[in-house]
Amino acid sequence: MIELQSVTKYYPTPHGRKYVFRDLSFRFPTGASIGVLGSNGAGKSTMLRMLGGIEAPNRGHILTDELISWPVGLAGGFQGSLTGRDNVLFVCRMFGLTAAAMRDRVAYVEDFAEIGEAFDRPVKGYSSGMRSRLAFGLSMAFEFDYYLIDEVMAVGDPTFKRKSQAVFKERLARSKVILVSHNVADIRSLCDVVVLVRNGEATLFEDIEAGIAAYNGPTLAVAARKTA
Amino acid sequence: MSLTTTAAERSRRNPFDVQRAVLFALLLRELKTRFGGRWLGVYWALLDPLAQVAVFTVLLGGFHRIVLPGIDYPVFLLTGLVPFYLFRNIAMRLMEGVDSNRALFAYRQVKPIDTLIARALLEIGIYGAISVLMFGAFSTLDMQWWPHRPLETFALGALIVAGAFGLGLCLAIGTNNFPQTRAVFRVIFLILYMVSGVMTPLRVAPSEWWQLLMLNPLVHMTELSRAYFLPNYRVVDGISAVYVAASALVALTTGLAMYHVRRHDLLSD
Repeated sequence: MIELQSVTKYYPTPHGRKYVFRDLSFRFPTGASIGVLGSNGAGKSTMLRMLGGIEAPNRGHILTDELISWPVGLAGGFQGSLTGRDNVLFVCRMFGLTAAAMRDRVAYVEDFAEIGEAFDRPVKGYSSGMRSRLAFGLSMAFEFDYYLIDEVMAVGDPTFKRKSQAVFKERLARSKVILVSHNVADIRSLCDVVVLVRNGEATLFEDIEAGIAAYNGPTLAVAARKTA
Repeated sequence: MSLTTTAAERSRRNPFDVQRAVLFALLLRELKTRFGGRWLGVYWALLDPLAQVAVFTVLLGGFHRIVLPGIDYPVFLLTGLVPFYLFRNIAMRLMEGVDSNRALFAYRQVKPIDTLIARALLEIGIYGAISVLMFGAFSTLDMQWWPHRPLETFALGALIVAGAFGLGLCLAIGTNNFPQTRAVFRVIFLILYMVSGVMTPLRVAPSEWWQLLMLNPLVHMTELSRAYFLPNYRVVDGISAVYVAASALVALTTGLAMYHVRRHDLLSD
């Protein structure tokens, strides 16, 4: 269960508060993988950061009894001055793994990311493709009830995309995902429902196609909501 | 590629275990960048105070035999250097601590203050190690190597850490939106090094300056550190442990209050 209870989130700007969500109450459907759609700046990443426990709402609460991953994305998560290996070690230690388990996980991520000797170079020199390989591999090394994935699968070459999709699908037998993506094909193949974030509101579409239609155009959205 | 998740990992850890694991992870992460991942960095950290003690002993040793009869100048110097550097390094390292770890706030377990605590712990470890090595060397040279009043010495150490942590918190939060102002504080500490009685006792300064110099709590720290360590070191009237404690308390309270108010702002970039 993941539930937002009258969540208000704003950021201070020189021109006053910029509200992302005002008094938003929303219950994520249980046992479903969720695709989050919305135009740039609609608040998708903010929602992910709040679900990931990084930022707290200014007012309201987020209730959950699920084990939720960190937001897996290209921004954040890796300290640039450290090597890929050291970043992975950091996360292992943070989760309090034993030395043996740690060796396992590091080997897994190294194997999964396939970035060769770059694994032992500082992350700040990585290309976005390499970052996404490392980010995705690292998240797959840990088991969660929900994975928060922010656009990370959209980057990378076709071989890696195929591989990550395959591993992820297998993982989805036990876990669920909250996926932010502009790539509608990813949403279709991995998610069960769609949540559309727009104007500080979140709307649930049980039918993926209706959600995608609503995301694609306002005129279509009215029609889709009627039929759904 | 298969992974085994242990039962322990699936069960919820208690907050204390989480906090400990986070601090441990951050401490090792800081250790790596602090010394640049090379043994040379470790040598440098240890060599720096050793070189200072050697150079100043050669330069000022003769002068101090007159001013401080019966006190070994290297011991005098080190008992001022260690508290000053401990204070300065904690405050300065904390000032940049939030920026240098921002990416790690992507994990819910890691909060800005954790990175600052880890940095402070690392500096305490470094200066602890330096003290053990240097005073160990003094003991073989037949100089005084153990404080004459150990309890007061360690209490003073705790006050220095508390004060430096408070100031470091204030600086980290105060300069968060204006990183360019940090250079100013680095210069201020350079000046403080000159006027905090690290190289020479306060007594050799003209007595009409004493009152002004003693506004700086760091003077009280270095002087008290010597008074507690050396049995025949005489401090100037007005040097007060209460002043050190009060300043540390003010710094720590202000720092923690600022952190409490601004803790959410520190998370966004």
